[in-house]
Amino acid sequence: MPALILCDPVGEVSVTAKRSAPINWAPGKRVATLFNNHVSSYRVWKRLEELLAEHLAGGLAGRFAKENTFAPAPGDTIRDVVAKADLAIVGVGA
Amino acid sequence: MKTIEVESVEAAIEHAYANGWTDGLPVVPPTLPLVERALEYLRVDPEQSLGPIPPRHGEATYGKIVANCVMAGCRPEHMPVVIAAVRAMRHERFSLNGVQATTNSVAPLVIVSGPVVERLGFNSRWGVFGGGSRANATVGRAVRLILWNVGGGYPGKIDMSTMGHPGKYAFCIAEDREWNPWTPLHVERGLAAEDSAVTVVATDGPHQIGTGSGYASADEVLTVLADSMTTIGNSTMNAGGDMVLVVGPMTARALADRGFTKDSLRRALQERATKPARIVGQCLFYQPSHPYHWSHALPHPDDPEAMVRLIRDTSQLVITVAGGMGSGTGFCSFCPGWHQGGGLACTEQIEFPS
Repeated sequence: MPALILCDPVGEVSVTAKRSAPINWAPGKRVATLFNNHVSSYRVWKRLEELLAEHLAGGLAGRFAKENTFAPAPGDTIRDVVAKADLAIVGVGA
Repeated sequence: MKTIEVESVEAAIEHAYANGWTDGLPVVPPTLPLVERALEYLRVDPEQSLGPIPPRHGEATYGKIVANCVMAGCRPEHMPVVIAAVRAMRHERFSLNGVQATTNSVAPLVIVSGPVVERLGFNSRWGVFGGGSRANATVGRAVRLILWNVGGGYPGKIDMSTMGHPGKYAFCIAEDREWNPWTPLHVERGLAAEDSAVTVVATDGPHQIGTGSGYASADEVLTVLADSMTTIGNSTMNAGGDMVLVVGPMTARALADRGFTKDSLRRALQERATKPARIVGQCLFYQPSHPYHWSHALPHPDDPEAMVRLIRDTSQLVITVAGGMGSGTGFCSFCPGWHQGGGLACTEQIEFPS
């Protein structure tokens, strides 16, 4: 007989997200960036956008930013991105 | 609820270490009888969830909350306070995902106010930020263990706080009811005086301020407070947001006797807690292009003599009264916050089972 029964304190994660379809990175796709404004990523993001502009024919379809690094982008911003681009490169977290 | 069988108390403690359940200190084994007793007291469904806790997004079911409370050493009657804190931290404006993951050193400060302070024996006086009180220590630790085990805030993995924070073991204080000459915190935040509540704000550790209020004029006290709050490397100075000033009872009495209320103290400190842009601008913690950067709150940001306000809006300064009586030094504590995008003050009423 075991002496003690312990209750597991670790929260269980409800997985609801489905696997995304593979990204169709075909030439001619409109690409946007959505910067998360994290204080430590200004330089790398600026360079990323420069490289994308260099390598994408016609440059970037749009450059977007969200004010709060740690919160999802506002719905209006997301809708704007979706309207202007086929693909978006998004900065997440810190 | 998932359970595990072990042979002894020693094995239970080691099991907790081996499975990463602890903050580094030993825990009370969350045995089924202890958890069941608490659930019976709370009269809640162990599978009912308050929602996911970011960034790991584990479900904060009552069963998991209670298991973590038991591990922290809570008695069942402490647990409604923890539940209120969890509810408060889940407000969108608290941005718990960021609070848990940021490279900053903030941790949720839990401020308990109302009749529950005496009822459950919270320490609101000497050593209020320190140890010695079961209620402060276990409620504070339970909040941390929930953020750890349910939210996944493991240092260096998801919690990227570079310096960490002693409050990441436990960070719970209480507002003193007898020595507070002003409106109680929870009443300011919309509840009735007879209610009890928890207010959470993500803050740095407390910075002591010796105001000399036993000997000084109100003008001098305000100067000391304002100067001590406006260090240019603190996050709030750079990026705004909520912050906490814990006014010691001697200083609170001295200011109240000179006619100050919490609101007039906020306004006075807003005027005085300033530094010239040429000084604040030497800190490149936040880039000027960042939406929260202090320059955006100035009408003439290029003027080096423009005065940068720590308190952009008086509602951002949370004032509570706690700490012990002492000599005329009139100690207070200031806890800078995170920034205007998160960790902002959120209050929830504590609901006890009827």
